[in-house]
Amino acid sequence: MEKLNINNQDILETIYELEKSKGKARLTDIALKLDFSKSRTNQEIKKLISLGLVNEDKYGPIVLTKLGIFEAERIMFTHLLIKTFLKNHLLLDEETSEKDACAIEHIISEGTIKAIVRHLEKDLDNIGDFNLKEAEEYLVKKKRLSELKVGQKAMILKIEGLRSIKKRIMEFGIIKGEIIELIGVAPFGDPLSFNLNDFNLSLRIKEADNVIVELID
Amino acid sequence: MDKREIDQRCNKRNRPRLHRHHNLNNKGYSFTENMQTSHQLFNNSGLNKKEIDLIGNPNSGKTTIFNILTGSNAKVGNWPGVTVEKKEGALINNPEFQIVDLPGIYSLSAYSDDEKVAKNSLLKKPSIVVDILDSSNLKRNLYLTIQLLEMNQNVILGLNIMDVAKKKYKEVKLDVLSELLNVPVIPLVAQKGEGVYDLINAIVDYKVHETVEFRLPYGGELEEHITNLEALLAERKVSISGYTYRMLAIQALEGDEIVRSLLMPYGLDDFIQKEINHLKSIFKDDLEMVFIEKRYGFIEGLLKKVIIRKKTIENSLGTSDKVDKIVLNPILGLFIFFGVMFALFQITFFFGDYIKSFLEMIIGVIGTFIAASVDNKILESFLNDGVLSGVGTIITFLPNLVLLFLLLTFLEDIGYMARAAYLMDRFMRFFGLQGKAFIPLITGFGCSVPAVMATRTLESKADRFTTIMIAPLISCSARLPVYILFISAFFPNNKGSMLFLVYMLGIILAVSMAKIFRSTFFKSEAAPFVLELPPYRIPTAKATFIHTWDRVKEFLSRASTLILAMVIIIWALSILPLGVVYGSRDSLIGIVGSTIAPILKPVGFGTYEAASALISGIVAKEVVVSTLSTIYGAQGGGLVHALATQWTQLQGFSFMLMSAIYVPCLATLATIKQETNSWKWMFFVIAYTSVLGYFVSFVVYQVGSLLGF
Repeated sequence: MEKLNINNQDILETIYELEKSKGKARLTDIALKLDFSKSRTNQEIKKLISLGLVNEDKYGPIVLTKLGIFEAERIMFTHLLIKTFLKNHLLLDEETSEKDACAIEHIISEGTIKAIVRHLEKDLDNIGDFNLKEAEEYLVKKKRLSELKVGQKAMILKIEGLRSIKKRIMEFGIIKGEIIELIGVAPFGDPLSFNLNDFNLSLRIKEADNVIVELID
Repeated sequence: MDKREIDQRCNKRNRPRLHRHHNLNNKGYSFTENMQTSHQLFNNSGLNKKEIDLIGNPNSGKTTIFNILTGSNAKVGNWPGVTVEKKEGALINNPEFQIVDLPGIYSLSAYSDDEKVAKNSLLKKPSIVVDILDSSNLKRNLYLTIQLLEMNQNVILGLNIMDVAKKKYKEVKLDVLSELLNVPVIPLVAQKGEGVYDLINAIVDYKVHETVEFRLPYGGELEEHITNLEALLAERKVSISGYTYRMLAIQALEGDEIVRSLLMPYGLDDFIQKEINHLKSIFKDDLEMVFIEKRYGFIEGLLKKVIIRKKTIENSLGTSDKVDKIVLNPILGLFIFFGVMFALFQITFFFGDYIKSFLEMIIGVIGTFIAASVDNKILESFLNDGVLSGVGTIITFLPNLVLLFLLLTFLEDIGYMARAAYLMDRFMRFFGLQGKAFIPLITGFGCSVPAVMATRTLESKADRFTTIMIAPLISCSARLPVYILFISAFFPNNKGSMLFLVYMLGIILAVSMAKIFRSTFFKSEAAPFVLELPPYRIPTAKATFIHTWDRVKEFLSRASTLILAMVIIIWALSILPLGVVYGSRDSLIGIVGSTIAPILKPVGFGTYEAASALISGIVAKEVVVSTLSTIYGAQGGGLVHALATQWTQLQGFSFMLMSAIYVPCLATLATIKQETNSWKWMFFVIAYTSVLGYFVSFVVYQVGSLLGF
């Protein structure tokens, strides 16, 4: 998938929060919360729709797809981790922690996340409503199939996306519980080649995006 | 899946024996009484002909087995209404069995044309379905098998590539597989011909056993709802030919639109929709996906009993993976790819052209002989300018075609074609096409006829038709003499860059048109790009030759008759009305030329000479040069001089662009008709290339004139 930029991530996070707090996310509320103009928000949402993260009924609310929820939860967990760290360990006040977490969440590396978790787990089991270990697993281990590095193996957790595409992929044997390994990347970075069971296959990044996996060692 | 459950379900069923007769000769088989009775059970179209459908995943070795079973006397054609190739032939020594080769598919989803064709053929209930599996990759291959069994087909399993499986696993228990699925299982190594006679025996001796329906146990809530729906269907006395109640129930719950519409008259649709919604809310997923997972779960349970894996997993890479480390390397892989393409091009056109010129020489000799021995002027003209030139056109394409198809078949069989598609996929997406389309298009630089035929390797109809439509825009080698003539006449100082420009124009137009076609006529089906990278295999020479011969035979029998007819029509237009000089201004074709000349005025060359040169170019592109040479009565340097003095530079340039783009040659048109299986698309190509050529030349000439060139 194309890398999500800061605006995309902020919008996903906002929709996620609105769905949690108000039950649904409307364009006006999103725009208001992020202090964006309506037309700009609309443009950003169009991009998220094209990435398969968001659905929009005409004049209805904006709804995260399952992939959208996956991405939003990643950002949310990251946010929560950083904020807790800033607040508890660097003893910053609520407002600063919140604001800085919002900025740092977009650029933080996996290594730093791990280090923060190591630090936090000394005196914490949970952050917010979530188990710390679970949050770490989510951020470090759960990936989209397209995010694997060459040589990495992973267990397939879920296949999302359009029904026809999903069916094709699954009938090919890409189903829950199978172990899949990224064995190569084609010239120009796409498509990818994988080993699954007893055979090798190739998927475009666009299709591999729909498969959520968990890294195994 | 509960293993006990599988056992119970499967053991309930009668089991036939494995058919193995090792000491049989291949000289025909006597019918047993059982066979006679089963004749009546089979309800097929032919009186005593029994249809045997051959099915399997791509790369399972199905084609090789088909060739052995039919002794390569197959008839090649199309399935009605679609462009999917249909091959059928009689079983060797047993002509009462008609083997139909279904397309290689992974499942019976009925998304692609291939799958629809297979599914429709199966719904007509063939006598036996021979399912060929790659034994070294049983899990995925068995998915299709399960679907066949769920369709209540009489299945024989051919477990091919057993040699690899034997090396890979400690043991493959075929008898267990046969018992659990209640079908005959025949081990095969088709490449070496091993087991094929066992397979033939199994077909000939096949007994339709007391049909106990294969019922994959879906378990729990799902099974309950399937059984309920089955009972309801039975209660309503639903009867749809080819379907059992269970099939209907499962496919209705899966949301299959065809089955849903078939059940519509029975007034069950609301009930089914309710059931679907209910089950959906339990499984929190589309039901289709639940069914797929359950089927794979069943296969997993099956394989635990059938395959005994080696204790130590070999860490070293297989040969195939080792080769792929190099062949699929992003940098090295591209070099190898272009090397392969260069070799393909060189062998096809360089060696092909040697044979071609030899054949042309022979035709020349025959032509001289006819001219000398036939007195009647019209008859001589008919034989020489009509028949012989038509036959000559066909024959001169043959060497290139044969060589190209030998090489393409070889690349396909060895497993490289899938790699080529993988390597070029990202690049070809600029065209709105997928990786495999690269090969037909690059072939187009040599000749459009093999280019159009090479689109066969594209599975998706949208991809294939788009590629066929744009292939003629790539400048073929026959257009080169035209470019050279006009560049020599009008751009003697910029030869290289002008030639490059014309070729680039072709490519740019092809890209743009591909994009336009993709977004209008051939909107992409939502089919994703899921491509198997099969292990490398060394193909047998025989299989490669048979495959190539099938292609050539088809070209000869279908496209070539059309080419011949077209050439004879052009001949008739050139000689009529009787008495005129062949192809002159007074002949019908000359009259057509004079008539369209004024139309060509806005593009810069509204003369009879230019118009008739373009018309003759439809026969074959290089004929434009010889026509101009006849009209101006000059050749070589003389013709260059004549053009340079009588045409302006802008007129020449405009004409050159027109000849690069307008209507492809007759042979290409005939091939397009053959490959698309429709006149409509052939005429569409004529229309759009004419309009496009006119448009480009018009813009160039008008803008050029305004700018004062």
